[in-house]
Amino acid sequence: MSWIPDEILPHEEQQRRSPLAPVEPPASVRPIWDWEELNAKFRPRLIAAGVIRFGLTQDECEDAAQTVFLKVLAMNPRVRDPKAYLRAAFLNRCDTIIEARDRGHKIAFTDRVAETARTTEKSGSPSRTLWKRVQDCLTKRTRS
Amino acid sequence: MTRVVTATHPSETDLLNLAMGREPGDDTAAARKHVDDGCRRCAQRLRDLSRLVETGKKENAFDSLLESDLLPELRRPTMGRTLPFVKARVSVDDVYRLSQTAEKPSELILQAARAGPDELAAALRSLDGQGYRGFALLYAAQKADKLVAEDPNKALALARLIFEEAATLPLSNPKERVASPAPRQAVLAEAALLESQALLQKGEADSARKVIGPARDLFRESGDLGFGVALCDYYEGQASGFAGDYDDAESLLKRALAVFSEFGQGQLMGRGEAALGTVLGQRGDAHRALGCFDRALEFLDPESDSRPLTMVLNNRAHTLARLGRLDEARATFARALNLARRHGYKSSVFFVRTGLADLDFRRGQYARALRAFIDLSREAGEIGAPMQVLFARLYVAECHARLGSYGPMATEVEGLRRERQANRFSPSPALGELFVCLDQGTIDADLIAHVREYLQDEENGVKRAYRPLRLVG
Repeated sequence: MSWIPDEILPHEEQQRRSPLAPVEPPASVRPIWDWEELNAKFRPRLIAAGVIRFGLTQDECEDAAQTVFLKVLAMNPRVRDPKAYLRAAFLNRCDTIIEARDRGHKIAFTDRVAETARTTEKSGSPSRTLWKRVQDCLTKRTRS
Repeated sequence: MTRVVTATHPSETDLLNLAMGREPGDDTAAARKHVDDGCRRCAQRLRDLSRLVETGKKENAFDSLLESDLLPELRRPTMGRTLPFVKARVSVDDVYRLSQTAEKPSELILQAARAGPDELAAALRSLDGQGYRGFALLYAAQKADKLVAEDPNKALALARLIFEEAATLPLSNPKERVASPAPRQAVLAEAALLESQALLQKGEADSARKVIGPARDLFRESGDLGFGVALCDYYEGQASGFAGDYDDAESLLKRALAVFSEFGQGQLMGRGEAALGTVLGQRGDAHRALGCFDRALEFLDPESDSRPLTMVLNNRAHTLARLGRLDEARATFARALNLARRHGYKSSVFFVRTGLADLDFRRGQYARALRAFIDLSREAGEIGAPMQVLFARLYVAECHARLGSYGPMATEVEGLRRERQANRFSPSPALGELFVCLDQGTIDADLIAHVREYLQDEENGVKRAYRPLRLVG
């Protein structure tokens, strides 16, 4: 018995069809989005949830919401459940912002240690002083 | 000093209880001790589970806020930023209206692509200077999967034209707030996906796979949030399956499925499961394929996904038949047939009827199968489907042989020899052996079955050298 491919073509096209070629099922009937609800109700909730649950600033959350709303519009024919898409995309965006922020903190810390080391070296302080200052940096970071 | 760790690692449940901080029982305490004793592997498992629990808690809290009736009041910053420091965001409402305006032009592009190159060129020129041009090109590429099914060459031409047209669109700049809503990279990526689908439909699986690499990069450049790359995985997975690279296909499709699930797109999960089932079926793993088809059925809607649903039912029925569950297979074929007839999918009806005839054949009801395959062979000839003609005629010959009608069997095989140039298996040594045995008068049902099974495997992408029946024993 022949394995039937993913999609079955209209009669007139079978001639051209190669035996195993799958066909993406045609775009199905798309439900119409309730844009008013998405933009007026869901969007402020996303922003608030981002601020409250992830500790992001309102500005960051508004940027994230803006990005995911533009993305969902760019995927309109493919997206059937826009709320689910927006939720997942927004969560991903929040993660990215938090990661970027953490990375920024790490870089700032490294810069501070390097600056301390340079200053200590310039002033001709002994290595013990340098070590103490680096330890101070570390202590401050732990507290923060 | 080296620490001694007990050989028995705690179960996932115990570690999960530990990660969730549930009431300490003996097992949880033992798990804690095991980790504290220095088992690195379990410490890593515990860290992973803790991260998972933490993410789950955050997401639950996030969801409860999204679903709450009251919108939490946010404290406004006391010192709001003022111009010129505030970069204005583009109004999402305006972009939505723009995208809605692009719906009709995108449909017109598809109609023009069906009509011919001149009409398509005119349709594309009509977009010049329009604000919605980017969206129209983007949506046309996304909606063109129906065209792929109808005519892959026209879909390919459309994909390449959209690729050229996109060159004049503004670039994406994800770091800027005033980002282009339908940027060049996104349109190029969608055009590449369309090209890949068309190439796969034409049977060029390797070329279809190659196109996906650049599409993945383009999606990333356009500031993709994971969904575009998942689409790339889905299409590449399909292409890999048809290129015979089943391991790659399986892992790509599973990755795509995880993202579709994360983004809550049930219809794409249904299609992903169906594609995975097809790959597993192709590699002969009928049990797992059946599981995939069953899951696909849960996601697909009989009204809005009637065509993919027909396909899934059809493939599920074939899988059941392979497993020898013939009654269930018949019932599933019946569902597929009803659906296909209700929606007027003539070609689906043809394939389902082929499946039903095959079931009769497997049950040993050769007279009934013979009648069905004779009809199917004639219909396949009328619609110009040479491969279907070949297989139907092989079945007809085999049914005759099993019924002891050697004269009609020989006539059928003779007919196949006359028309062998019509199908791509004409140079196959399998057909060669069949015709030689016909001349020598040594042809029988077993030989026809041997040849048919070999050609069916080849049709399904299984590459193996042909072994004449006399050598097989």
